[in-house]
Amino acid sequence: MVRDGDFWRATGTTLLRVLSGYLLGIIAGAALSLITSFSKMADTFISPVIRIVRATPVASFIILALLWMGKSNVPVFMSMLMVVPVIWGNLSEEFASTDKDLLQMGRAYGFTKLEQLRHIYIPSAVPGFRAATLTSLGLAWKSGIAAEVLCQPKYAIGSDLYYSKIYLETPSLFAWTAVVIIMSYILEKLIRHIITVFEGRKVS
Amino acid sequence: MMKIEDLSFRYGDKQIFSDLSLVIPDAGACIMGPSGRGKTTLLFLIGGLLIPEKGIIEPKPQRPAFVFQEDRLLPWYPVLKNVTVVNNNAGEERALQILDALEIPSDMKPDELSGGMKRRVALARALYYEGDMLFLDEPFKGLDTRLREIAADLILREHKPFFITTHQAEEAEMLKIPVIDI
Repeated sequence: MVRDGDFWRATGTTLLRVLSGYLLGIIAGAALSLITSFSKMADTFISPVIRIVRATPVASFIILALLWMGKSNVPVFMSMLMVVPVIWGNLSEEFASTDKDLLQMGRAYGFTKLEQLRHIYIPSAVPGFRAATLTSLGLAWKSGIAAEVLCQPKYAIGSDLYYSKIYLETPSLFAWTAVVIIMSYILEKLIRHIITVFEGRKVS
Repeated sequence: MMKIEDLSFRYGDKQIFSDLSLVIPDAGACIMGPSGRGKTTLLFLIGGLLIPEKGIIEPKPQRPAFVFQEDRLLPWYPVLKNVTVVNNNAGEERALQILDALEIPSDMKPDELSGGMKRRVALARALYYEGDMLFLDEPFKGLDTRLREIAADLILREHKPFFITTHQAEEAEMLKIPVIDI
């Protein structure tokens, strides 16, 4: 299977889709958590929507998304949609539990809102953010491939899994599943490494 | 002279001050009293960190510099950054001078410091801030006599009004300021 060019095209395209969705989800989740944590009005409107997204089954969203967008974009959208609530939830909790004494110190020393964010809120939220990025990676990966199975875009691990199933090619099904697991493991290691390097730079 | 008139303050149901009136000399004062009497609360009220239920405090500090009892250092920053983060204009050189005078290495992280060292970093931060009044909540806790004298000398060299809370009368003597017993 690995000697076949289509294998690498499918694996690479799936990886690209999931990573795109994952990164978009991190950015959107972090932005939404900043907005809802510091604006009560935004919190009133946005938080219930995110909670609904969190509670809705992935399959419902995949089928809905298929109606609205091209089938090769659905896996990207689904990966993003699964990441947003996790990043949003963890970051919002971290922001809410920021040390009140440090915030009072910041106010006493005349920190602007931006300085409070930069020097107190964001560094306090780093451990929660790190945990959320690792947890949501698995979700992005699984939901992205689930979306591929249901949408069957050209060049996708999910599509190959689906074809293995309908043609009853059990060895191929196992082989693709093994690819998914191996890729997931490599991705997690890679993200952990990136986080460690990034944190090391921030400290120094 | 600083005037405090009819000051009242409560935390929830607990009344801390009721119609407290004081006149404080320009140089500042040492607030003394048993634990739980409200020394820190009075310090925060004068410094503007807490709003009184009623009463007047005049003049109010424009740029108060605080040393908090719990140090309140930013654990993710090294010592030097903990000091310089409060003032964008004073320059790193001045921060290093203050840290050097207080005998603290500038590159260590707060969790690597002893209690006394953290105290000195908190004091260095307050001095570096270039505020118009200093508010020092037990600033000498955990310091030996020699370091107390160095810290007191630095505080006096600022020539600014300062308020300090302490349990020890000799600290007021060392800083040459009047004592307010509450």
